[in-house]
Amino acid sequence: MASTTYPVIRDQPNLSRFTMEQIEQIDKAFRKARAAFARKSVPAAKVKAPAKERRVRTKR
Amino acid sequence: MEAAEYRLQVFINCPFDRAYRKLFYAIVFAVKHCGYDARSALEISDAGELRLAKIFRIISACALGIHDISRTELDSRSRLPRFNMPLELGMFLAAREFGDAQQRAKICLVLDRAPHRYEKFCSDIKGCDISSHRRNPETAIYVVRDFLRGVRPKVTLPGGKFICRSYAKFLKTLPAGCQEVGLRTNDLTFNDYATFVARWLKQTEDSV
Repeated sequence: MASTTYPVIRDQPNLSRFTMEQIEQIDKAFRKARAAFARKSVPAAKVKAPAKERRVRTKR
Repeated sequence: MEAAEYRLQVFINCPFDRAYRKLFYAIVFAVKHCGYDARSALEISDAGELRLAKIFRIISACALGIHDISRTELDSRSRLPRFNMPLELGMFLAAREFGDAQQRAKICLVLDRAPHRYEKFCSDIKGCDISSHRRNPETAIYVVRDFLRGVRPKVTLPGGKFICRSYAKFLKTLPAGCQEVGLRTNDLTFNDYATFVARWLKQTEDSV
């Protein structure tokens, strides 16, 4: 049975050529861009069209 | 190397040219999204170390390998094909064959652009698990995700569609991150790109 363990993202600091200050700048820029992206992708509320009256067929 | 660390390292062996970059970026993103470390020969720029020694060192540190052997075209200038990817696949398979117990536990995914195409140029690997990405980054993400899902069945991974959606969002915000530190999206080194991916994913993780 699969456990519910979700992978933890690994940072690999050994790879980073950025200073801590730059990392903070990147984090901040991402946060800002993501917030802007989230705002844009929220769909505008649609006005629900009134349901058409169902035509009832009657026998002639 | 500690076993726990070793089993989370993924060696990515693929072309490094501009034409392949979209696939490479998608594969690195999928690997990191699934909680693994992406390793590549590009990560070290130490001119003092022999390239082959560097690749052997990285391969020996990785339990997993993703090898793309799809680049078979002739180089436009030299009119010769590139053999680095099949060579590094061979090095990985040899480590698995002749190495110690840890090395023998290596698992790899071989990628090509179409099913059964490899049989015409590298038929000796017939019988290995070979998947095709069809030169499509989304397909590559699905294939890599499914491979990593199979490696550790007890760990729940996000689905391919979810990772693709995350990747699309990441690509939209990447220019903002690059701009902040004075870089252009097209000029990122592997190390820079891997750091951007990790920082972006960390934020996703923290916000859950």
